[in-house]
Amino acid sequence: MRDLYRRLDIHVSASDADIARAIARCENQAVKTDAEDVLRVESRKREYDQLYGTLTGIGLLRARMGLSHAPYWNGSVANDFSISADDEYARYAELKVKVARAVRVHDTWQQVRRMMLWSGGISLVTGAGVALLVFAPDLF
Amino acid sequence: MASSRFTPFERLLLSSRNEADTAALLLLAWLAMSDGQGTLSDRKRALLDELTGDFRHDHGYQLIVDLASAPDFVALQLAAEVLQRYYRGPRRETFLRQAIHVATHEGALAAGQHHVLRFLADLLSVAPERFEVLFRDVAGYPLAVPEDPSAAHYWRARESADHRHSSRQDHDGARGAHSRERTTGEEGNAQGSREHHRQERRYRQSEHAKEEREETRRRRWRWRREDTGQREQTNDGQHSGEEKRHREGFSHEGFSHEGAHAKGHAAGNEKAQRALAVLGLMENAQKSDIKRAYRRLAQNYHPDRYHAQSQEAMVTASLRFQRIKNAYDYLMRQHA
Repeated sequence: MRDLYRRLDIHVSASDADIARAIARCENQAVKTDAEDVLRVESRKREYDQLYGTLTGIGLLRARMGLSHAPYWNGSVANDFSISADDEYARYAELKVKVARAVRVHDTWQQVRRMMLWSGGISLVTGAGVALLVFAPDLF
Repeated sequence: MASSRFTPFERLLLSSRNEADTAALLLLAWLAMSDGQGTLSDRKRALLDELTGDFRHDHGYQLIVDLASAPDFVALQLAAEVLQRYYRGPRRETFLRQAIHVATHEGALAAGQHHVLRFLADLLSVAPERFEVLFRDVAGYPLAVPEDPSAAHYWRARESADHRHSSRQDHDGARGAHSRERTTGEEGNAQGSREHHRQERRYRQSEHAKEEREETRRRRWRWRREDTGQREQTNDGQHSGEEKRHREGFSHEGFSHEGAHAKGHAAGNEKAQRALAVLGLMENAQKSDIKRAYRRLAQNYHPDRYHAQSQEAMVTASLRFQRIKNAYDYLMRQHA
């Protein structure tokens, strides 16, 4: 399956008028007739677009996972729907980084809380002592 | 650096009791929904439920369905990475069997499903040869080449097949009025045309199947020739091509299933001869000869010997070994 939009040099979301114009100025006769027959018929275009979406997604997944040269990715599909690998890091590694960061934040928070509790407790005790000293000196 | 918020699917994975199963469920749901309809029918949902009964997903089912129908490729990428990380060895094939079952559950494969299935096979690095065997095993027919809806002739062939199909129905008279209505009001009626596509796909599948079967046979024959080398070739010298193919089908369907119920003496005799040929023996071989030949071949061709080599070599070796073993078992039963 070929990417007719790429071959017509338009975007998938192009309007019918744009598609018609692009087809009219297309010089490759084979692409021209195919695009005329596929993209100009509403029901066919709908089905084509659905498959187009799936293949674009698979192309993206393959590029990011290093599967652009796997045995089942060949022919016109591979030619038209492969993208060059972008700078997207691995999702799983990203998830791990996020979890690690969340854990760190959690630990820090726990530490801060413990310190606050301790310091709160100590100041409470000293406060109580001072208060007793001030208000009830005859206890000592 | 991306935002540090967790996406819904990440949360689901983190709270899941088994990451790999959750990821597998998402990928299967995606596969089920790439059939061009984009919805999860009750039947498909029931199938997924049944298949994933032992997957320990206890919550987040709706989220998975939403992600798979949108499709959210960020989530799918994460799921694919998890799967690749956790599924090793035989687990990969079990998963692919489930995937093939999901995809072929409602008639022939949709074009999108062809590509998703192939992606999953590549993802788990299962070689095409092995995957085709798996597919045939689960679906009952060979894996066809995906069609090309970007070509005008695809639609022309499809629509002419539709017409042929409907005119045949007219002759039958069973659902004549219904199908005529379909041919005329085709463009407007999305539901009807989808129905059409499915019927037509099935129709084409049957035509395709014959071709594909020939192709697989030829490929297997190539393996076989490489495997057994010279001896086989000289044995086959006098047989016609038809005979070779016949033998081929026989040796792969297995001696074990048919041997016990040999229809007549002639048929049984023919099978015995073929089995002997597999073991490289003459017609008048004794039981001891058969045992000796089997031991020698089994030692030479045992799949464990090819373990360190490529996957293809392994597949070839195990097919060859299976054939030898089937032949031996058959002969032993005959002599018992």
